[in-house]
Amino acid sequence: MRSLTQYRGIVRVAAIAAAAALLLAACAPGGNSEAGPAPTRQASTGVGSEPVTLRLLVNSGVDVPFYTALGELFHAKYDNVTVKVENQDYATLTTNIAHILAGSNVPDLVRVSQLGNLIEDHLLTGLDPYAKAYGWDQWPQSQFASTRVGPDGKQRGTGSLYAAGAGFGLTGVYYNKALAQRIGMTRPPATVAEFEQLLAKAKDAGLQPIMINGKDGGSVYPLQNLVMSSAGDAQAVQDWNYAKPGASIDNAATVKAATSLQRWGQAGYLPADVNDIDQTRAPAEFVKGNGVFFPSGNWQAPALDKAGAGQFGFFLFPSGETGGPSYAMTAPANLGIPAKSPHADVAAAFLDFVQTNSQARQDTVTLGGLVPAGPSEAAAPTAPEGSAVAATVGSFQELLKSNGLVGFMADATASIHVNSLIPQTQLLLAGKTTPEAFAAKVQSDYERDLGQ
Amino acid sequence: MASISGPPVVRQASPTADPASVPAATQPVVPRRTAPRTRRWSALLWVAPAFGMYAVFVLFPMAQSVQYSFYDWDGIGPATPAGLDNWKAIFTRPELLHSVEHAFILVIFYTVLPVGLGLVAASLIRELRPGAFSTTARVVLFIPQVLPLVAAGIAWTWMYSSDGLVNQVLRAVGLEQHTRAWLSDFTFALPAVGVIGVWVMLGFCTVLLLAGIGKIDPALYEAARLDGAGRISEFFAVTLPGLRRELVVCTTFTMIAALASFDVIQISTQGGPGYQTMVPGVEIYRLTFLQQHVGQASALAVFLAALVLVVIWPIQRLGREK
Amino acid sequence: MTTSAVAQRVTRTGLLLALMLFAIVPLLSMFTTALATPGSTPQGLSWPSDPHWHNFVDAWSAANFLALFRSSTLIVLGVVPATVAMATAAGYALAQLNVPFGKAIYGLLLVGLTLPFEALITPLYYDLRSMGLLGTRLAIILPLIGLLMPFGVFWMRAHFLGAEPALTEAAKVDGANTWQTFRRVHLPLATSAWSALAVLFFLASWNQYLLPLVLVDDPTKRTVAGGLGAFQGQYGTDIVLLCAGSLLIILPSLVIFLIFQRNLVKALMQGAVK
Repeated sequence: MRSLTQYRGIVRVAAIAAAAALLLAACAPGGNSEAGPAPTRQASTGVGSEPVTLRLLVNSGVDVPFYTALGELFHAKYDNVTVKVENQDYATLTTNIAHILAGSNVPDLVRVSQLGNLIEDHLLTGLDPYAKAYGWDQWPQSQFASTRVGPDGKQRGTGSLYAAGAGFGLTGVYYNKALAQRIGMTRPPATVAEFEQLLAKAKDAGLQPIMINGKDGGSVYPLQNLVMSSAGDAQAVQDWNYAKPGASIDNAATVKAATSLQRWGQAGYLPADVNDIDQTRAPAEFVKGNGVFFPSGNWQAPALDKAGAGQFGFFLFPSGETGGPSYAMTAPANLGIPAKSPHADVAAAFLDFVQTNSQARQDTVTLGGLVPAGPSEAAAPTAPEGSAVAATVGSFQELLKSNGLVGFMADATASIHVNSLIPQTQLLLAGKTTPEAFAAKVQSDYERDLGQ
Repeated sequence: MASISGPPVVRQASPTADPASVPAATQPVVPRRTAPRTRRWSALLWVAPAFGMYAVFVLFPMAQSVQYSFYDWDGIGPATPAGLDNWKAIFTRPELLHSVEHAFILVIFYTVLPVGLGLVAASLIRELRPGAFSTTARVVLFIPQVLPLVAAGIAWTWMYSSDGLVNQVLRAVGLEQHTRAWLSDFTFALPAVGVIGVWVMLGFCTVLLLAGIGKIDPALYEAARLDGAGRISEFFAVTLPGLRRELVVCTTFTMIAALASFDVIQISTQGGPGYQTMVPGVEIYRLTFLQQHVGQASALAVFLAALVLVVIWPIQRLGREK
Repeated sequence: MTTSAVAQRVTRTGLLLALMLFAIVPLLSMFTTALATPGSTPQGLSWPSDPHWHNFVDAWSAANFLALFRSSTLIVLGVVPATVAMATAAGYALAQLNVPFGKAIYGLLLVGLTLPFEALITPLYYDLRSMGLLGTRLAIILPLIGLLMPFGVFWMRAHFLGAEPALTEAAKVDGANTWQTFRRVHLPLATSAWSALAVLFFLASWNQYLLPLVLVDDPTKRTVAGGLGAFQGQYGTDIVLLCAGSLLIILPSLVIFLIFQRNLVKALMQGAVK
C-alpha cells in the first residue's frame, strides 16, 4: 500500500512543519514597532509651480461627480495641479483603507469614514500645522472635533487634527408632502409619540409608513435617534462615539430604542423586505411614493429635489418629549492626507480650498448635498426655497446653535458598522434577537474593537 | 493497490474543476520494472523550481499563519503575544462558530445534491445514443463550472432579487404570496446561496461520474440482468460500487469548495442578513482587513485548513479501501 | 416500442432537459437583462422589445475592460507557462527519477492540495508587501504559481507514472541521457496531459478573485474576475450594465472551454480506457 505509507509521510512532514511554525511563533511577527509620535511635516501653504497630479480616492456613487467638480475648480485656480478622482465602493474602501494607506500605491487624499486604527498606526498626516498655517484654528472649532484624536490613537474629540472635509452630512427624516397631507400631518411631529401616531395613521391609510434601507445600515439612523430621544440626552452616545474610557451604550435607553424599532418592524411601519433595500433603492422607492417617511441624510437631498422639486420635505428626528432637545447625526465628509502622500502640501491646499472657496462651497451643497462649515463669516450657500436641500441646510444651522449635532455610532470603530450594527439591527427587525441582547452585543463588539 | 486519488483542487477559493482530473486521479499505476536505482542528487534540480515556489508561497505563509495565530496584531503596528486567546475565541464567540456551521450546511448543497443529481444526470446521458444531444447536454451542464465564481454570484443575485427570475416564475404560476427577496430572507438566504453551489458543481460531478460509468465493465450489467435485477438494484449492485473512485474525487473536491467558499458569498450576501450566511472564508477576510485582528483571522484560517484535512482524510481512505 | 417505454423515455429526456435548463437559465436571464433599456429594472427573463446592444459597448468602457483583459492576459502569461513547465519537470522527476527525499517532497506537496487559499492570504499579503510587490501583477502571479503547483505536480506525476518503462530503457540503450530521454521520448507523449493542465490553469488564473482582491488595489491591474468584483461594487445598482459587463467577462472563459472541451473530455476518456 504505497498510498498509505505516503500518507504516513504526510503526517510526518506536517508534524515537522507544525513544529517549525511553533518555533517561529517564539518571535513576534512583522510590525514596525516605532511607536513614536505621529508623523508631522513641515507645513507649507503653497502649491508650487511643478506639475502635480493629486490623486483623490473617494467612495463610488455621488462622491465621484462631486469631487470631480471640486477638482476642476481647483485646477482652474492652480493650473499646475490636476486632480484625479478614483473611487471604490464604500464597503471595499472601509475594509481596505488601512492597507491601502500602508501600501505602496497611496493616494494623496482619501475619503475616511472611520478613523479606526489609522492614527495609532501613523497612517494619516497630522493636520495641526496646516490648521495653523491656513488659519483654520480661528474658525468655529466644533466642526473639527470628530477628527481630533488623542495621544492614545483612539479617543476622539480632543488632541490633534487628522481630517477635514468640504461639508457635513446631517440626518433627519424626509417626508412626501402629498402623502403627509393625506394622513393629516400639518407640521412635523414634535415628539416620538406623535411620530408613531403618524406612522399608525399611514399604516391605516394603506400607505407604507417608512421607507428605509436595512441592507446597508439605514435602519441604524432611526435607532440611534431613538436612543438619544429616549435618553433625552446625547452625551452618552457621543462619549461612546469618541471612545471615551468607560463609555457604554448597554443601557436602558438603548434597550428602549431597540424595543421601539423592533415594534415598528412588527407593526409593519418598515417595509417587509427592509433587509433587502439598499441606499440606492430606498430613495428610488420613496420618490415613487412608496413610503411617507424616509429617514436618511442630506446627501440624498439633491437627488430628491431633482426627482420632484418641492415635493419632499425634511424634519429633524423628533425628541422624546415635548420641548425636548432635537438631535441629528452629523459627520464631515472627511478627507485625510495619507502619511505616505508625496504631495501633502498640495493636498492641504485642496482641503483649505474646498472649505473656503465660495464656488466650491456652493457645489458642496448643490452636488454633494452637504452643508459646508468653514469660517464663521463665510457666506452660506443658497438653495431654492421649499427644496429638500434648503430644509437640510436650515436644520443644520438650527442644531449648530442648540448643540444638537452628534456623530454617527457607525463611525465609532472601523468595523462596528459592518460587523455589529448592520447585522444586529437586521436580527432585531427579524425578531431574532432581543433588545437586551442587542445592546449587550453591540457593546461587547465595541469593546473588543477598541482592545479593551 | 490503488494510486492516491488526491483531490483535484485547482483552486479552492474559486473552484473551477476539471473533468480531465479523472485520468490522473484514477489512473492505475503501471507496475514498473525498476532497475536498481541509486539516489541521484541531480534529480533534485528537476524538482527544485516547483518545490521552491511552493515552499515560498504556500508552506512558509502557512507556518506564518500558525505563528500569527498566537499574537494580537493589527497587521501594521507591533504585535503582542496573545497565548491561546485567538484559538479559544473560535469556540466561544458565536459568530465564528456559526460561520463554521454554515460551511458544513453548505456541504449539503455543494456536495450531496450535486453528487446525487450528477448520478441521475450521468445515468440519463449514458442511456442516450452518443450524438449531438448527449454532447450538448454534457457541455451545457458543465458551463457553470468554467465561469468565474464572481459571475455566478452576480447572475444568481439577480435571479434571487425582487424582480428576478425566481420571483417572476413564482408569480407566473400563481404563487405570488411566496415571492420574496431570497438572499435577504433569514430562512432562505443560506439555502439560496447553497443552490448557487449546486449550479456550479453539478456539471463537474456529472461529467466525472459519466466517465466513471463508461469504465464499468458491461459484463457486470449483463450478469446483474441475468440475475433478474431491476434498474434500482442494478444501480446499487453495479453502478454505485463501480463509481467509488469518482465519487471520492467528486466529494473531496466539492467539500473543499464548500468549506472554503468565499467568492460567491462575498459577492451575493457578504454574510447577511444578520450573520446568516457568514462563512469562515469571508470572516477571515473581514477579520484581517476590516477589523485588523490578524491574529484572530490566522487562528480561524489554520483551524479551517485543519478542518478540511480532517474531513477529507476519511473520505480519501474510503476511496482506497477495496 | 410500448407506450410505457415511450413515456419513460419522454420522462427521462424531460428530466435531463430540466437539468440543462437549470444550468443555462441564469445566463439567459443575464443576457436578456443586458439588452434592456439602460437604467431600467426589467423582469428576470423577458426579451426587450427594443434590444440595446449598445449596452455592451457602454459596459466595456465603463469598466475599462480593455485594461482588464490586458491585465488578465499578462497574469495568465506569467502563471501558466511557468507553472506547467515546473510541474512537468517535477512530476517527471518524482515519477521516473529517483529523487532523494522524493516521498517527503511529494507528501508535502499533497498537503497543499487541500489548503484553502484563505488560510494563506493574510501572511501572503505581508510577505508580498515586504518584497515590495504589493499592487503589482507579480503579487498575483507569484503566489498563484505556488498555489497551483501541488495540483500541477500531482497531475503530471500521475501521467508519467503511467509512461511505458520500455521506452526509457530503449532510449538508454541508444545512449540518451536523462534530459534527452525526457525531451525526445516522454515530453511528446505527455502533450495531452500538459495541455489539459494548461487549460485548467488558464481558467484558474483568469477566474481568480481572492488574490487580486486582497493583493492589488488598482482594479485595472487585477484579473477580470477581480475587476468584475470592483465593477459590481461601483455599478451594482445598475443591473443592466452589470449584466452586460458580467457577460463580457464570462466570454473568454466560455470560448476557451468550448474550444478545448473536446480535448478535456478526450483526456477523460483516455483515463477511462486504461
